Amino acid sequence: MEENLQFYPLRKDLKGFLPPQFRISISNILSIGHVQEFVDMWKGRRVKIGLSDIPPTAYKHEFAIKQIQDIAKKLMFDKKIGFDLEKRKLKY
Amino acid sequence: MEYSFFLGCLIPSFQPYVESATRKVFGKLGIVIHDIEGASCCPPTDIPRIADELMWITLAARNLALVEKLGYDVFAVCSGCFETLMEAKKILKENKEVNEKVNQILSNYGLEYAGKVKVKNVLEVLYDDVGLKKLEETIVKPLTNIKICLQPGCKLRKFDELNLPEKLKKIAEVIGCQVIPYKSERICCGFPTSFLNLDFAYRERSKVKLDEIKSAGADCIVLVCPACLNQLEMAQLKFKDEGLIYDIPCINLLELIAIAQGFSATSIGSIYRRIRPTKLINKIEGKTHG
Repeated sequence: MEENLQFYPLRKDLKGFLPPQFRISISNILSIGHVQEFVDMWKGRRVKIGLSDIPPTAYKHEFAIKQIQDIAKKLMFDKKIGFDLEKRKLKY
Repeated sequence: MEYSFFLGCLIPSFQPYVESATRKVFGKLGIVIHDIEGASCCPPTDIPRIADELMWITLAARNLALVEKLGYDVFAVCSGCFETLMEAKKILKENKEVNEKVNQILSNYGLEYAGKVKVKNVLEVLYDDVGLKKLEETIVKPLTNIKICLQPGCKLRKFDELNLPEKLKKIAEVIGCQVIPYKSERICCGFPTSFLNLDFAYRERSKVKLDEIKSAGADCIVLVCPACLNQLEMAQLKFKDEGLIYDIPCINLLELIAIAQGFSATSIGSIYRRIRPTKLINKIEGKTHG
């Protein structure tokens, strides 16, 4: 296998540019606009304590996510980290 | 007084009791809060170091441009968001080339960052803008029977000139809390190192603090940073699995102010956390009704 990879380096597993510890947070910023996912469980709890069910940020507004993705595209950040803007996830 | 409220990620999605407490406290003080519709993650300052500086600052500038559109100074409760917005503002002020590049991108969305608004930490708003005297006037239940240890966190110490750890202490004292000093107060909670070595973060950082806070006899740990709160709660759960029980609630300062202003812990949502502060709430309410 090692010998094969010496001759065919492109067959190596793609590891990506990002360190593993930061893959999730950076991928989340590009896909949902935040590092932390918003779990549905919190909706009811937020309402109970007098807050809107969904926070009025990128969690709620699709336009914000589209702008963030467009910025990533303009700066070629998506290419740099191997992020698929259509599928909203890292390619590898 | 009117401010834009920068929510960040962790507070609205995982610690809504902090958002709820902040809105209640500010309402009681007669401060109007404006939401920044469509704001995103700040994003954290780790991103430029490991990924792309221009991407980081453009996203931060987008948030600041949304704030400018609203027209009010912005405050953050999250120490990480505060750090990002302050650093981004400084770079955008000092580096014309970056400023131009960023604004060129933002113009595609009808946004512009001109550097008109101030970025404030919630402690500055309460201590400097509102003032301790006015804050004290809104307190109906001084928490005089509560002993606390403070966890200012690293990011508050980054801006020496603002003296934020001292402001945290003074505000906690004004609402009646007895602040107990402890040796490792200046040590990091462990959160940043948890990305590289979780065991080190728990054992060499969080545990050192928790051991001392437990020995000090504090009823709770008081902080403003959501990452510190997360780390010190998670560490307690980790050590509970090993048979080491701390049972020290980690409470955001805003929650304690709201309780001292007369709001119930239930209405704030303080129960929605990993380590329920039942003993602490009973102690506060026992004093109140006693």
